[in-house]
Amino acid sequence: MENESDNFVFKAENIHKYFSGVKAVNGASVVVQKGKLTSLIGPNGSGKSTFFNVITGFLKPELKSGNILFRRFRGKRSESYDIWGMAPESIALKGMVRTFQHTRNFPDMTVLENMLVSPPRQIGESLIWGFLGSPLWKRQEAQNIVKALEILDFLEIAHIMNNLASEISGGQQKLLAIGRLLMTSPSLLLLDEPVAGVNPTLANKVFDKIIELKESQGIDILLIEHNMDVVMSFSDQIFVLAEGQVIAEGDSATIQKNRKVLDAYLGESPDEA
Amino acid sequence: MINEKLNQTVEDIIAKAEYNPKSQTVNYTLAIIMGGLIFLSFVLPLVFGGSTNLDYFTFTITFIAIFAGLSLSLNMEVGFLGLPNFGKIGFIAVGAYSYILFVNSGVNEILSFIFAGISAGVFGIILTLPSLRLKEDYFAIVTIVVGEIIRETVRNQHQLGGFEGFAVPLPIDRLYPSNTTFLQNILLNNNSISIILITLILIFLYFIYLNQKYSKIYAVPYSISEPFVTKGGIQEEVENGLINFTIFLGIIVIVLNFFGSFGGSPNGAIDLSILILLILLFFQRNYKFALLRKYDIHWDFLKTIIVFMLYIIFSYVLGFVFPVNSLSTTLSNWYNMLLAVGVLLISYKLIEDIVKSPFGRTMRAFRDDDTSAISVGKSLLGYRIKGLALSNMFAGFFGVLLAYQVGSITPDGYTPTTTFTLYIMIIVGGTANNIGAIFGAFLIQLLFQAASKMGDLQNVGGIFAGLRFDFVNFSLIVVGVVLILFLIFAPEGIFPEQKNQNERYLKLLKQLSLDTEGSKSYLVRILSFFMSIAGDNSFRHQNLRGLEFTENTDEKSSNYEEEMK
Ligand SMILES: Nc1ncnc2c1ncn2[C@@H]1O[C@H](COP(=O)(O)OP(=O)(O)O)[C@@H](O)[C@H]1O
Ligand SMILES: [Mg+2]
Repeated sequence: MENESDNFVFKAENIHKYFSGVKAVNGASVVVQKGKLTSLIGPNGSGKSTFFNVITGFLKPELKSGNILFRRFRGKRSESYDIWGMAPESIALKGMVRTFQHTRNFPDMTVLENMLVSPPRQIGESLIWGFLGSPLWKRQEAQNIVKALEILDFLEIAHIMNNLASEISGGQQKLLAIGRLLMTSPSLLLLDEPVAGVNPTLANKVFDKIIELKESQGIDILLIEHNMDVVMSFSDQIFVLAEGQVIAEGDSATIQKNRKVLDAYLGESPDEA
Repeated sequence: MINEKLNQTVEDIIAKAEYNPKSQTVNYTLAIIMGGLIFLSFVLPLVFGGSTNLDYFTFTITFIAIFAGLSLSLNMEVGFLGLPNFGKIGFIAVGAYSYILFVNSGVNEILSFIFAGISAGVFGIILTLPSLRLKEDYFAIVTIVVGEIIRETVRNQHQLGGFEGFAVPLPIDRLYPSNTTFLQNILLNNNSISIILITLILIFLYFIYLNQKYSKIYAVPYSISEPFVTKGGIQEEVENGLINFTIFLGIIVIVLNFFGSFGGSPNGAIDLSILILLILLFFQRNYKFALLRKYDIHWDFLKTIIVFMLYIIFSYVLGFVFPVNSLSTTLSNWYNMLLAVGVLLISYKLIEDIVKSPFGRTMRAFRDDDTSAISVGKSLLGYRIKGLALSNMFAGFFGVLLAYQVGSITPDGYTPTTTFTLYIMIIVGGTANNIGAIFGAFLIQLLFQAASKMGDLQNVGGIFAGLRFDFVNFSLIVVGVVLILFLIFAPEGIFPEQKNQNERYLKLLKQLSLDTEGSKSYLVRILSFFMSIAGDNSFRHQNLRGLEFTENTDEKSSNYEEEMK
């Protein structure tokens, strides 16, 4: 009864997205199993980011041919959501959140305040409680601040909490973006090239943190990476995207042996390997 | 025990920060130079024998207050929400027109005033629709068109007054018989009682303020030795509620005074509100209320009362000092000014509270990067609807006040020039800073008023005799040059946005007890009960559980429900 497909936390089947003729995503299907760090790899322009944009509701998929399911586990029980056509903010509130390839934080806020935007259903976010009920939201706010400080500490960027987000380095921006997502208490993190443009030392640290999140917090991860060697060592499951289609899937050993994958990456410049 | 450990952790984390949060940077030099120069040009004609009457002062202050309110409203859209509304004047017009249409159809003036704000707010919601589809620059163009359409529509509709518009009667005019003095009015209305009361309260407050020994009874300082576990977190909260309440009382006084609808006696309203205030003070000192739990007065609260009282005293004293000759104009100008300044204070307090609340923070988040705000689950539509409705509600209120001040409502009184003036105010004062918006309105209005008075200098003769040009048009040139200089040299304005708010957050952390189970107030308990009925469980599980990022409130409550079965 307990087979693998019963244990999925995310499942997207037959996703299409065209840009005026360019078939950016062309029938891709991806499944993330509970507790398995899953990576989506593929050369530049293979449609990875577009796939993310579609499944998180930021872009409308082409036709109602496939489906997108997200499942949140609460203890032993779980709840499934059909998130096809759902607004991006609703999907985020369900517990499935994503970063963007080009890191997007709130530049005119401090690192700490960036974190405080995220918590869902804040009392003080309602207009009425906002100005009549400061007694009500201040307590919750204090708790959110504590949580934010703990997450910043975990990500090892607590020392820059008083800087504006526009003043911090690219690697710190990436960590802050992850931190902002953690503030929403997610169950599935979608990370779009979390270490692109980050120096190798910091990149290793970022991956360490991601694995730690998975191990100790039970947060599931779907990760986009364009350089395939980077993720091989710690991915439990890998999907290879080329020209909008999944050309291979399996664990790293299977993928490394796959000819089609090597061919897809042949067009890439050699320094990537 | 757990809390102590947690506090230690939090303190350790805070200690890691490289910098201390920076406080607000104000361009004081600019503020002083600009303010000084303009104030000089305002006073100069008066000194040199221009028309030095009270009317001129009240007139100018009223205009400043009204425009300060309007620029606060515009600042909320442009500075905090990030939506460039270039049709602001349309919403001011909607407010004014709805007011006069309601009044003309027999609705009470106070209600009409409120409806005017609501109508303008509803128009703001309609404006949300293009804002969702268009980029900011296109949105700006659409709003100019909306403003002009409103004007043209009104101009061609006889039911809406056509191009001639409406006259706006001041409610205060029918209140005072034309041959009594202000002083007589106060005495006639038995108001010596409130004056005595106010004086007594002031003396009392001054007394405890001077004597720290006595003040200990009333003021409970936050525990500094154990910064994260203070037992009386709720104190500041109730205090805040009371401060808000006091301010609302203040506006009630002013509004009732203005409309004179409290038993025909404007001063009766003061008596009433002081009475309420005293009763409240009594109860909160002696009894446990759900809302007003027994707590000790804190200084901020006292300060608010003092300001409130001073405001009333101020209105009295000036009535004594300046002989009121022609009641129909001077007195109504006077009350118009008090009303405008009063509504401005309330609006400032409300808008500042909103901006500092999580609502305001998410508003700024949408301004900074809307995609990113959506990606953490915030609704763009919701925030734009609420933000535009709220800011334009204030535009509606101040639109009515402007109509009072101008004395009439005509379509040609609502040209886009006013919108651009408001933009200049917030650019010079500082966008995304409420004090800046008010200061900008102060400077630019003063400049305009001074310019219109400068012509008087020609009558003085001597060196001024040679001044032979139109000062009003000249002031437009000056404002234009000032604007360009600001855009080049100080694009953030005199009061730049305070981007770093961390000081406030860390202070909050120190003030509020984190032990929610222990000191959860009745207010919070009652509300969490009602909110959990309504399906919102965010109240229920607020205790901290260390490093559990995934901690989900729903999970806990569903487990809880399981146990119940
Ligand atoms: N908004 C867009 N408009 C037009 N074409 C786009 C858009 N976004 C992506 N594309 C195209 O879709 C293809 C896939 O892009 P993308 O998903 O960003 O690839 P990847 O993330 O794998 O590098 C590319 O050919 C890209 O040019
Ligand atoms: Mg990409």
